[in-house]
Amino acid sequence: MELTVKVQKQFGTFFLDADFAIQGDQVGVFGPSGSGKSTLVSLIAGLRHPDRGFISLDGETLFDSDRGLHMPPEHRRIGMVFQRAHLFPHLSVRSNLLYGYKRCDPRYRKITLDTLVSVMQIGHLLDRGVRHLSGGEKQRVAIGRAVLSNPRLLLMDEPLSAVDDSLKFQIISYLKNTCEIFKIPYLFISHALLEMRIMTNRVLNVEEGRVTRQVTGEDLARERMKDAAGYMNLLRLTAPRRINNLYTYRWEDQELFISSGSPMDETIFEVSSTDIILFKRHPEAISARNLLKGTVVDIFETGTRMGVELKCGDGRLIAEIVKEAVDELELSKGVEIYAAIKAVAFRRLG
Amino acid sequence: MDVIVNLPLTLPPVVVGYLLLLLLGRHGFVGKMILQPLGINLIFTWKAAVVATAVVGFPLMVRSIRIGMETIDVRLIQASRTLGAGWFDTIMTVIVPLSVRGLIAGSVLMFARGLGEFGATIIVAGNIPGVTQTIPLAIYEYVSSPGGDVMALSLCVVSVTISVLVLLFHEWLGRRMVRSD
Repeated sequence: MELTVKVQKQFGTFFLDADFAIQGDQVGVFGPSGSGKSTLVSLIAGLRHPDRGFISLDGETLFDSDRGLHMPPEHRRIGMVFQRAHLFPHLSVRSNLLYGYKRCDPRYRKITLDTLVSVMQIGHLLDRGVRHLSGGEKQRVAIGRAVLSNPRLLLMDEPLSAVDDSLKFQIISYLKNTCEIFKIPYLFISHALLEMRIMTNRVLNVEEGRVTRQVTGEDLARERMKDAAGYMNLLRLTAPRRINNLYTYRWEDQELFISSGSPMDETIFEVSSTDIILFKRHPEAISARNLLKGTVVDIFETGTRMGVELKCGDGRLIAEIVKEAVDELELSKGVEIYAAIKAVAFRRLG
Repeated sequence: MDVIVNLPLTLPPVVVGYLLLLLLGRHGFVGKMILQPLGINLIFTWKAAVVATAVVGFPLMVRSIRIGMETIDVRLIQASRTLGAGWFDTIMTVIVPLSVRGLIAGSVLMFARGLGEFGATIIVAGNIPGVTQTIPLAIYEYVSSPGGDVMALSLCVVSVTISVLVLLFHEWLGRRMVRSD
Protein backbone atom coordinates (compact mmCIF):
# COMPACT_ATOMS: atom_id res chain seq x y z
CA MET A 1 0.00 0.00 0.00
CA GLU A 2 1.24 3.41 -0.94
CA LEU A 3 -0.66 6.33 0.49
CA THR A 4 0.02 10.00 -0.15
CA VAL A 5 -1.95 12.58 1.78
CA LYS A 6 -1.64 16.34 1.76
CA VAL A 7 -4.85 17.83 3.09
CA GLN A 8 -6.22 20.65 5.17
CA LYS A 9 -9.55 20.75 6.93
CA GLN A 10 -11.02 23.34 9.27
CA PHE A 11 -13.51 22.01 11.82
CA GLY A 12 -14.81 24.75 14.07
CA THR A 13 -11.73 25.67 16.05
CA PHE A 14 -9.85 22.49 15.12
CA PHE A 15 -7.52 22.57 12.16
CA LEU A 16 -6.19 19.43 10.52
CA ASP A 17 -3.10 19.85 8.38
CA ALA A 18 -1.72 16.48 7.32
CA ASP A 19 1.14 16.01 4.90
CA PHE A 20 2.73 12.57 4.56
CA ALA A 21 3.49 9.70 2.23
CA ILE A 22 3.73 6.20 3.61
CA GLN A 23 4.35 2.72 2.30
CA GLY A 24 3.65 -0.51 4.14
CA ASP A 25 0.88 -2.96 4.83
CA GLN A 26 0.51 -2.62 8.58
CA VAL A 27 0.49 1.07 9.30
CA GLY A 28 -0.61 2.67 12.55
CA VAL A 29 -2.03 6.13 13.20
CA PHE A 30 -1.16 6.98 16.76
CA GLY A 31 -2.04 9.99 18.88
CA PRO A 32 -4.06 11.13 21.88
CA SER A 33 -7.85 11.56 21.73
CA GLY A 34 -8.84 14.69 19.86
CA SER A 35 -5.60 14.88 17.88
CA GLY A 36 -7.41 14.42 14.56
CA LYS A 37 -6.89 10.72 13.88
CA SER A 38 -10.54 9.98 13.16
CA THR A 39 -10.91 13.08 11.01
CA LEU A 40 -7.91 12.03 8.96
CA VAL A 41 -9.38 8.58 8.49
CA SER A 42 -12.78 9.90 7.40
CA LEU A 43 -11.04 12.07 4.80
CA ILE A 44 -9.18 9.07 3.41
CA ALA A 45 -12.39 7.00 3.34
CA GLY A 46 -14.16 9.86 1.54
CA LEU A 47 -16.80 10.31 4.24
CA ARG A 48 -15.74 13.94 4.60
CA HIS A 49 -14.30 16.44 2.13
CA PRO A 50 -11.00 18.13 2.85
CA ASP A 51 -11.07 21.91 2.35
CA ARG A 52 -8.16 21.57 -0.04
CA GLY A 53 -5.39 19.14 -0.84
CA PHE A 54 -4.65 15.84 -2.44
CA ILE A 55 -5.07 12.16 -1.55
CA SER A 56 -3.81 9.25 -3.61
CA LEU A 57 -3.73 5.50 -2.95
CA ASP A 58 -1.51 3.13 -4.93
CA GLY A 59 -1.08 5.74 -7.64
CA GLU A 60 -4.79 6.49 -8.05
CA THR A 61 -5.99 9.96 -7.09
CA LEU A 62 -8.92 9.86 -4.67
CA PHE A 63 -9.17 13.56 -4.01
CA ASP A 64 -7.66 16.60 -5.65
CA SER A 65 -9.05 20.03 -4.90
CA ASP A 66 -7.15 21.64 -7.79
CA ARG A 67 -8.84 19.37 -10.32
CA GLY A 68 -12.15 19.34 -8.42
CA LEU A 69 -11.89 15.59 -8.09
CA HIS A 70 -13.67 13.84 -5.25
CA MET A 71 -14.16 10.12 -5.60
CA PRO A 72 -17.22 9.08 -3.55
CA PRO A 73 -16.56 6.56 -0.74
CA GLU A 74 -18.37 3.72 -2.53
CA HIS A 75 -15.90 3.87 -5.43
CA ARG A 76 -12.73 4.01 -3.34
CA ARG A 77 -12.69 0.37 -2.28
CA ILE A 78 -11.56 1.37 1.18
CA GLY A 79 -13.19 -0.73 3.89
CA MET A 80 -13.79 0.54 7.37
CA VAL A 81 -14.14 -0.96 10.84
CA PHE A 82 -15.48 1.44 13.45
CA GLN A 83 -15.23 1.64 17.24
CA ARG A 84 -18.51 -0.20 17.52
CA ALA A 85 -19.66 -2.93 15.17
CA HIS A 86 -22.45 -0.86 13.53
CA LEU A 87 -24.04 -3.91 11.96
CA PHE A 88 -27.27 -3.33 10.05
CA PRO A 89 -29.91 -4.22 12.64
CA HIS A 90 -32.57 -5.17 10.08
CA LEU A 91 -30.37 -7.78 8.39
CA SER A 92 -29.14 -11.22 9.44
CA VAL A 93 -25.46 -11.93 10.03
CA ARG A 94 -25.23 -13.49 6.56
CA SER A 95 -26.81 -10.48 4.85
CA ASN A 96 -24.58 -8.14 6.81
CA LEU A 97 -21.50 -10.05 5.70
CA LEU A 98 -22.64 -10.09 2.08
CA TYR A 99 -23.66 -6.42 1.96
CA GLY A 100 -20.29 -5.24 0.72
CA TYR A 101 -19.52 -8.41 -1.25
CA LYS A 102 -22.60 -7.99 -3.45
CA ARG A 103 -21.62 -4.42 -4.22
CA CYS A 104 -18.04 -5.30 -5.05
CA ASP A 105 -17.08 -5.47 -8.72
CA PRO A 106 -16.86 -9.23 -9.59
CA ARG A 107 -13.30 -8.87 -10.86
CA TYR A 108 -12.14 -7.84 -7.37
CA ARG A 109 -14.02 -10.60 -5.54
CA LYS A 110 -11.11 -12.69 -4.28
CA ILE A 111 -12.35 -13.43 -0.77
CA THR A 112 -15.63 -15.36 -0.67
CA LEU A 113 -18.09 -15.96 2.13
CA ASP A 114 -17.00 -19.58 2.54
CA THR A 115 -13.30 -18.85 2.97
CA LEU A 116 -14.01 -15.95 5.30
CA VAL A 117 -16.34 -18.02 7.46
CA SER A 118 -13.77 -20.77 7.84
CA VAL A 119 -10.92 -18.36 8.62
CA MET A 120 -12.93 -16.31 11.13
CA GLN A 121 -14.90 -19.26 12.53
CA ILE A 122 -18.26 -17.54 12.39
CA GLY A 123 -20.22 -20.25 10.58
CA HIS A 124 -22.52 -20.88 13.53
CA LEU A 125 -23.61 -17.22 13.59
CA LEU A 126 -24.65 -16.90 9.94
CA ASP A 127 -28.41 -17.25 10.27
CA ARG A 128 -28.81 -15.32 13.48
CA GLY A 129 -30.16 -11.81 13.84
CA VAL A 130 -27.45 -9.36 14.82
CA ARG A 131 -29.23 -8.32 18.03
CA HIS A 132 -28.55 -11.66 19.61
CA LEU A 133 -24.77 -11.57 19.25
CA SER A 134 -22.32 -10.81 22.04
CA GLY A 135 -20.05 -7.78 21.81
CA GLY A 136 -17.09 -9.81 20.61
CA GLU A 137 -19.16 -11.68 18.02
CA LYS A 138 -20.57 -8.42 16.69
CA GLN A 139 -17.12 -6.97 16.19
CA ARG A 140 -15.98 -10.14 14.44
CA VAL A 141 -18.91 -9.94 12.05
CA ALA A 142 -18.16 -6.26 11.43
CA ILE A 143 -14.56 -7.10 10.59
CA GLY A 144 -15.76 -9.91 8.33
CA ARG A 145 -18.20 -7.58 6.59
CA ALA A 146 -15.44 -5.09 5.82
CA VAL A 147 -13.01 -7.80 4.69
CA LEU A 148 -15.62 -9.42 2.43
CA SER A 149 -16.11 -6.17 0.53
CA ASN A 150 -12.63 -7.01 -0.81
CA PRO A 151 -11.11 -3.61 -0.09
CA ARG A 152 -7.66 -2.57 -1.26
CA LEU A 153 -7.17 -0.83 2.09
CA LEU A 154 -8.86 -1.41 5.44
CA LEU A 155 -9.24 1.48 7.86
CA MET A 156 -9.71 0.53 11.49
CA ASP A 157 -10.78 3.42 13.68
CA GLU A 158 -10.09 2.34 17.27
CA PRO A 159 -11.82 -0.99 16.64
CA LEU A 160 -10.97 -2.28 20.12
CA SER A 161 -11.88 0.67 22.29
CA ALA A 162 -15.44 -0.52 22.90
CA VAL A 163 -14.47 -4.12 23.65
CA ASP A 164 -13.67 -5.62 27.07
CA ASP A 165 -10.01 -6.13 27.90
CA SER A 166 -10.46 -9.89 27.95
CA LEU A 167 -11.81 -9.89 24.39
CA LYS A 168 -9.50 -7.20 23.07
CA PHE A 169 -6.55 -9.41 22.39
CA GLN A 170 -8.65 -12.18 20.89
CA ILE A 171 -10.02 -9.68 18.40
CA ILE A 172 -6.56 -8.25 17.79
CA SER A 173 -5.32 -11.65 16.72
CA TYR A 174 -8.42 -12.12 14.55
CA LEU A 175 -7.80 -8.80 12.89
CA LYS A 176 -4.14 -9.34 12.30
CA ASN A 177 -4.44 -12.92 11.14
CA THR A 178 -7.38 -12.23 8.84
CA CYS A 179 -5.62 -9.30 7.20
CA GLU A 180 -2.42 -11.30 6.84
CA ILE A 181 -4.13 -14.34 5.38
CA PHE A 182 -6.10 -12.30 2.85
CA LYS A 183 -3.21 -9.86 2.27
CA ILE A 184 -5.23 -6.73 3.00
CA PRO A 185 -3.14 -3.68 3.89
CA TYR A 186 -4.53 -1.69 6.77
CA LEU A 187 -4.37 1.58 8.59
CA PHE A 188 -4.88 0.96 12.30
CA ILE A 189 -5.95 3.93 14.40
CA SER A 190 -5.50 3.87 18.15
CA HIS A 191 -4.32 5.82 21.16
CA ALA A 192 -3.18 2.62 22.88
CA LEU A 193 0.53 1.97 22.50
CA LEU A 194 0.25 -1.74 23.21
CA GLU A 195 -2.23 -2.21 20.33
CA MET A 196 0.08 -0.22 18.05
CA ARG A 197 3.04 -2.45 18.85
CA ILE A 198 1.10 -5.62 18.18
CA MET A 199 -0.77 -4.51 15.07
CA THR A 200 1.66 -2.35 13.13
CA ASN A 201 5.22 -2.09 11.94
CA ARG A 202 5.10 1.56 10.90
CA VAL A 203 3.39 4.36 12.80
CA LEU A 204 2.23 7.85 11.85
CA ASN A 205 2.37 10.00 14.94
CA VAL A 206 -0.46 12.56 15.04
CA GLU A 207 -0.44 15.54 17.36
CA GLU A 208 -2.85 18.48 17.33
CA GLY A 209 -4.02 17.92 13.80
CA ARG A 210 -0.59 17.29 12.29
CA VAL A 211 1.27 14.16 11.32
CA THR A 212 4.49 15.00 13.12
CA ARG A 213 6.67 12.02 12.20
CA GLN A 214 6.88 8.40 11.15
CA VAL A 215 8.18 5.97 13.73
CA THR A 216 7.69 2.39 14.87
CA GLY A 217 5.71 1.22 17.87
CA GLU A 218 8.99 0.08 19.36
CA ASP A 219 10.45 3.62 19.15
CA LEU A 220 7.41 5.01 20.92
CA ALA A 221 7.59 2.38 23.65
CA ARG A 222 11.25 3.20 24.36
CA GLU A 223 10.52 6.92 24.47
CA ARG A 224 7.81 6.27 27.00
CA MET A 225 10.27 4.60 29.37
CA LYS A 226 11.27 8.09 30.43
CA ASP A 227 7.81 8.64 31.91
CA ALA A 228 8.62 5.95 34.47
CA ALA A 229 5.94 3.78 32.94
CA GLY A 230 8.51 1.07 32.29
CA TYR A 231 8.76 -0.95 29.14
CA MET A 232 6.65 -3.94 28.28
CA ASN A 233 8.45 -6.72 26.44
CA LEU A 234 5.98 -8.37 24.07
CA LEU A 235 6.66 -12.03 23.46
CA ARG A 236 4.83 -14.10 20.88
CA LEU A 237 4.93 -17.58 22.36
CA THR A 238 3.90 -20.83 20.72
CA ALA A 239 3.46 -24.56 21.35
CA PRO A 240 2.26 -24.61 24.96
CA ARG A 241 2.71 -27.74 27.04
CA ARG A 242 1.36 -28.19 30.53
CA ILE A 243 3.76 -29.46 33.17
CA ASN A 244 2.23 -29.71 36.66
CA ASN A 245 1.16 -26.16 37.54
CA LEU A 246 3.17 -24.45 34.84
CA TYR A 247 3.12 -24.12 31.11
CA THR A 248 6.14 -24.26 28.88
CA TYR A 249 6.18 -22.23 25.71
CA ARG A 250 8.54 -21.85 22.80
CA TRP A 251 9.95 -18.36 22.36
CA GLU A 252 12.11 -18.17 19.26
CA ASP A 253 14.75 -20.85 19.99
CA GLN A 254 14.24 -20.89 23.77
CA GLU A 255 11.83 -22.42 26.20
CA LEU A 256 10.00 -20.39 28.84
CA PHE A 257 8.07 -21.42 31.94
CA ILE A 258 4.90 -19.45 32.55
CA SER A 259 2.23 -19.84 35.21
CA SER A 260 -0.73 -18.16 33.45
CA GLY A 261 -0.69 -20.18 30.26
CA SER A 262 -3.53 -21.31 28.06
CA PRO A 263 -3.97 -24.18 25.60
CA MET A 264 -4.13 -21.77 22.62
CA ASP A 265 -1.44 -22.41 20.01
CA GLU A 266 -0.10 -18.90 19.89
CA THR A 267 -0.36 -16.31 22.62
CA ILE A 268 1.16 -12.92 23.23
CA PHE A 269 2.59 -12.32 26.68
CA GLU A 270 3.95 -9.16 28.18
CA VAL A 271 6.67 -8.93 30.77
CA SER A 272 7.76 -5.67 32.35
CA SER A 273 11.35 -4.51 31.96
CA THR A 274 11.51 -4.07 35.74
CA ASP A 275 10.62 -7.73 36.34
CA ILE A 276 13.83 -8.97 34.73
CA ILE A 277 16.77 -9.52 37.07
CA LEU A 278 20.29 -9.58 35.63
CA PHE A 279 23.17 -11.73 36.89
CA LYS A 280 26.79 -11.37 35.94
CA ARG A 281 27.54 -15.06 36.41
CA HIS A 282 25.34 -18.13 36.39
CA PRO A 283 23.52 -18.24 39.73
CA GLU A 284 23.68 -21.85 40.85
CA ALA A 285 20.13 -22.12 42.11
CA ILE A 286 17.35 -19.55 42.00
CA SER A 287 13.61 -19.62 42.54
CA ALA A 288 12.82 -17.87 39.26
CA ARG A 289 11.85 -20.49 36.68
CA ASN A 290 13.43 -18.82 33.67
CA LEU A 291 17.14 -18.18 33.37
CA LEU A 292 18.24 -16.97 29.95
CA LYS A 293 21.77 -16.47 28.77
CA GLY A 294 22.17 -13.35 26.67
CA THR A 295 24.44 -10.70 25.25
CA VAL A 296 24.07 -6.98 25.89
CA VAL A 297 23.41 -5.22 22.59
CA ASP A 298 22.53 -1.77 23.85
CA ILE A 299 22.52 0.31 27.02
CA PHE A 300 20.54 3.53 27.10
CA GLU A 301 19.33 6.08 29.65
CA THR A 302 15.66 6.18 30.58
CA GLY A 303 15.51 9.15 32.91
CA THR A 304 16.52 7.86 36.34
CA ARG A 305 17.27 4.30 35.22
CA MET A 306 19.14 2.49 32.49
CA GLY A 307 17.63 0.30 29.82
CA VAL A 308 19.61 -2.80 28.88
CA GLU A 309 18.75 -4.53 25.62
CA LEU A 310 19.64 -8.21 25.56
CA LYS A 311 19.88 -10.68 22.75
CA CYS A 312 18.87 -14.07 24.09
CA GLY A 313 19.23 -16.56 21.27
CA ASP A 314 17.01 -15.19 18.52
CA GLY A 315 14.86 -13.17 20.91
CA ARG A 316 15.31 -9.69 22.29
CA LEU A 317 14.47 -8.40 25.76
CA ILE A 318 14.76 -5.05 27.46
CA ALA A 319 15.53 -4.96 31.17
CA GLU A 320 15.57 -1.84 33.29
CA ILE A 321 17.99 -1.41 36.17
CA VAL A 322 19.45 1.46 38.19
CA LYS A 323 22.74 3.11 37.18
CA GLU A 324 24.62 1.68 40.15
CA ALA A 325 23.75 -1.83 39.02
CA VAL A 326 25.16 -1.15 35.55
CA ASP A 327 28.47 -0.15 37.10
CA GLU A 328 28.55 -3.04 39.55
CA LEU A 329 27.81 -5.63 36.88
CA GLU A 330 30.31 -3.90 34.58
CA LEU A 331 27.79 -3.93 31.75
CA SER A 332 28.77 -2.80 28.31
CA LYS A 333 27.88 -3.80 24.78
CA GLY A 334 28.89 -7.37 24.00
CA VAL A 335 29.05 -8.56 27.62
CA GLU A 336 27.43 -11.91 28.33
CA ILE A 337 24.99 -12.02 31.24
CA TYR A 338 22.10 -14.05 32.63
CA ALA A 339 18.53 -12.79 32.89
CA ALA A 340 16.11 -14.29 35.39
CA ILE A 341 12.33 -13.97 35.00
CA LYS A 342 9.77 -15.46 37.36
CA ALA A 343 7.05 -17.62 35.83
CA VAL A 344 4.39 -15.32 37.31
CA ALA A 345 5.91 -12.18 35.79
CA PHE A 346 4.39 -12.97 32.39
CA ARG A 347 0.95 -11.51 31.76
CA ARG A 348 -1.11 -13.15 29.10
CA LEU A 349 -2.79 -10.86 26.58
CA GLY A 350 -6.02 -12.46 25.40
CA MET B 1 -38.83 24.91 4.55
CA ASP B 2 -39.39 23.56 8.05
CA VAL B 3 -41.78 26.40 8.84
CA ILE B 4 -43.75 25.94 5.63
CA VAL B 5 -44.12 22.19 6.17
CA ASN B 6 -45.18 22.61 9.77
CA LEU B 7 -47.41 25.65 9.29
CA PRO B 8 -50.63 23.64 8.71
CA LEU B 9 -50.10 22.03 12.12
CA THR B 10 -50.26 25.31 14.00
CA LEU B 11 -52.66 27.29 11.84
CA PRO B 12 -56.39 26.83 12.47
CA PRO B 13 -57.67 24.38 9.81
CA VAL B 14 -60.22 26.96 8.67
CA VAL B 15 -57.37 29.31 7.79
CA VAL B 16 -55.59 26.53 5.89
CA GLY B 17 -58.82 25.81 4.02
CA TYR B 18 -59.34 29.45 3.18
CA LEU B 19 -55.75 29.83 1.95
CA LEU B 20 -56.17 26.71 -0.18
CA LEU B 21 -59.41 28.15 -1.58
CA LEU B 22 -57.57 31.35 -2.50
CA LEU B 23 -54.73 29.39 -4.06
CA LEU B 24 -56.67 26.71 -5.92
CA GLY B 25 -59.83 28.69 -6.73
CA ARG B 26 -60.72 30.06 -10.12
CA HIS B 27 -58.83 33.30 -9.47
CA GLY B 28 -56.05 31.76 -7.39
CA PHE B 29 -52.48 31.44 -8.61
CA VAL B 30 -52.41 27.66 -8.97
CA GLY B 31 -56.04 27.48 -10.07
CA LYS B 32 -55.62 30.02 -12.86
CA MET B 33 -52.14 29.13 -14.08
CA ILE B 34 -52.12 25.35 -13.83
CA LEU B 35 -55.50 23.79 -13.12
CA GLN B 36 -57.68 25.76 -15.52
CA PRO B 37 -55.51 25.27 -18.62
CA LEU B 38 -55.55 21.53 -17.85
CA GLY B 39 -59.31 21.57 -17.45
CA ILE B 40 -59.22 20.49 -13.81
CA ASN B 41 -61.72 21.86 -11.36
CA LEU B 42 -60.88 21.05 -7.76
CA ILE B 43 -62.96 23.28 -5.59
CA PHE B 44 -66.17 21.75 -4.21
CA THR B 45 -65.32 18.26 -5.42
CA TRP B 46 -64.14 15.24 -3.41
CA LYS B 47 -60.63 15.90 -4.77
CA ALA B 48 -60.55 19.17 -2.87
CA ALA B 49 -61.40 17.27 0.32
CA VAL B 50 -58.45 14.98 -0.36
CA VAL B 51 -56.09 17.90 -0.95
CA ALA B 52 -57.26 19.69 2.21
CA THR B 53 -56.85 16.54 4.31
CA ALA B 54 -53.42 15.87 2.84
CA VAL B 55 -52.18 19.38 3.53
CA VAL B 56 -53.42 19.38 7.11
CA GLY B 57 -52.10 15.89 7.87
CA PHE B 58 -48.78 16.21 6.05
CA PRO B 59 -46.75 17.79 8.89
CA LEU B 60 -47.63 14.86 11.18
CA MET B 61 -46.33 12.42 8.60
CA VAL B 62 -43.15 14.41 8.05
CA ARG B 63 -42.50 14.67 11.76
CA SER B 64 -42.83 10.95 12.47
CA ILE B 65 -40.69 9.95 9.53
CA ARG B 66 -38.10 12.52 10.50
CA ILE B 67 -37.96 11.28 14.09
CA GLY B 68 -37.61 7.75 12.72
CA MET B 69 -34.76 8.78 10.44
CA GLU B 70 -32.99 10.90 13.02
CA THR B 71 -32.62 7.92 15.32
CA ILE B 72 -30.58 6.09 12.66
CA ASP B 73 -26.91 6.11 13.62
CA VAL B 74 -24.94 8.08 11.05
CA ARG B 75 -22.21 5.43 11.33
CA LEU B 76 -24.57 2.88 9.74
CA ILE B 77 -24.88 5.16 6.74
CA GLN B 78 -21.11 5.65 6.63
CA ALA B 79 -20.63 1.89 6.92
CA SER B 80 -22.89 1.25 3.94
CA ARG B 81 -21.05 3.88 1.89
CA THR B 82 -17.64 2.37 2.60
CA LEU B 83 -19.09 -1.04 1.73
CA GLY B 84 -19.75 0.18 -1.77
CA ALA B 85 -23.34 1.42 -1.63
CA GLY B 86 -24.09 4.74 -3.32
CA TRP B 87 -26.36 7.28 -1.64
CA PHE B 88 -29.54 6.07 -3.35
CA ASP B 89 -28.66 2.45 -2.60
CA THR B 90 -28.05 3.45 1.03
CA ILE B 91 -31.44 5.16 1.24
CA MET B 92 -33.25 2.11 -0.11
CA THR B 93 -31.36 -0.59 1.79
CA VAL B 94 -30.53 1.11 5.08
CA ILE B 95 -32.44 4.31 5.75
CA VAL B 96 -35.93 3.29 4.57
CA PRO B 97 -35.94 -0.16 6.24
CA LEU B 98 -34.75 1.37 9.50
CA SER B 99 -37.31 4.18 9.49
CA VAL B 100 -40.23 1.96 8.52
CA ARG B 101 -41.69 2.26 12.01
CA GLY B 102 -41.75 6.04 11.77
CA LEU B 103 -43.31 5.69 8.35
CA ILE B 104 -46.13 3.51 9.69
CA ALA B 105 -46.67 5.72 12.73
CA GLY B 106 -46.75 8.76 10.45
CA SER B 107 -49.26 7.27 8.06
CA VAL B 108 -51.52 6.20 10.92
CA LEU B 109 -51.36 9.65 12.48
CA MET B 110 -52.06 11.28 9.16
CA PHE B 111 -54.96 8.95 8.47
CA ALA B 112 -56.41 9.67 11.90
CA ARG B 113 -56.04 13.37 11.40
CA GLY B 114 -57.70 13.01 7.99
CA LEU B 115 -60.68 11.18 9.50
CA GLY B 116 -61.36 14.09 11.79
CA GLU B 117 -60.64 16.86 9.30
CA PHE B 118 -63.41 19.43 9.36
CA GLY B 119 -62.38 23.07 9.02
CA ALA B 120 -60.28 22.99 5.87
CA THR B 121 -62.54 20.47 4.12
CA ILE B 122 -65.75 22.39 4.61
CA ILE B 123 -64.20 25.49 3.07
CA VAL B 124 -62.57 24.02 -0.05
CA ALA B 125 -64.92 21.11 -0.67
CA GLY B 126 -68.14 22.34 0.87
CA ASN B 127 -70.65 20.00 2.47
CA ILE B 128 -72.49 18.39 -0.41
CA PRO B 129 -74.17 15.12 0.65
CA GLY B 130 -73.00 12.19 -1.40
CA VAL B 131 -70.24 14.22 -3.02
CA THR B 132 -68.01 15.92 -0.52
CA GLN B 133 -69.65 15.12 2.78
CA THR B 134 -67.15 13.47 5.14
CA ILE B 135 -68.16 11.76 8.41
CA PRO B 136 -67.47 14.79 10.63
CA LEU B 137 -69.34 17.06 8.24
CA ALA B 138 -72.31 14.67 8.21
CA ILE B 139 -72.33 14.43 12.00
CA TYR B 140 -72.28 18.22 12.21
CA GLU B 141 -75.22 18.44 9.85
CA TYR B 142 -77.31 15.79 11.65
CA VAL B 143 -76.63 17.31 15.06
CA SER B 144 -77.64 20.77 13.93
CA SER B 145 -80.88 19.58 12.28
CA PRO B 146 -83.84 18.43 14.44
CA GLY B 147 -84.31 14.67 14.81
CA GLY B 148 -80.85 13.82 13.47
CA ASP B 149 -79.54 12.47 16.80
CA VAL B 150 -79.87 8.82 15.84
CA MET B 151 -77.99 9.29 12.57
CA ALA B 152 -75.32 11.36 14.30
CA LEU B 153 -74.83 8.71 16.97
CA SER B 154 -74.61 5.85 14.46
CA LEU B 155 -71.99 7.81 12.50
CA CYS B 156 -70.11 8.26 15.77
CA VAL B 157 -70.11 4.47 16.17
CA VAL B 158 -68.72 4.14 12.62
CA SER B 159 -66.00 6.67 13.50
CA VAL B 160 -65.04 4.85 16.67
CA THR B 161 -64.94 1.52 14.84
CA ILE B 162 -62.67 2.82 12.07
CA SER B 163 -60.34 4.47 14.61
CA VAL B 164 -60.07 1.32 16.70
CA LEU B 165 -59.40 -0.79 13.62
CA VAL B 166 -56.66 1.58 12.45
CA LEU B 167 -54.99 1.60 15.86
CA LEU B 168 -55.14 -2.19 16.09
CA PHE B 169 -53.61 -2.47 12.62
CA HIS B 170 -50.84 -0.10 13.69
CA GLU B 171 -50.17 -2.11 16.82
CA TRP B 172 -50.04 -5.34 14.82
CA LEU B 173 -47.60 -3.88 12.29
CA GLY B 174 -45.42 -2.55 15.09
CA ARG B 175 -45.22 -5.96 16.75
CA ARG B 176 -44.47 -7.68 13.50
CA MET B 177 -41.55 -5.28 13.01
CA VAL B 178 -40.15 -6.05 16.45
CA ARG B 179 -40.36 -9.77 15.84
CA SER B 180 -38.64 -9.60 12.48
CA ASP B 181 -35.74 -7.85 14.18
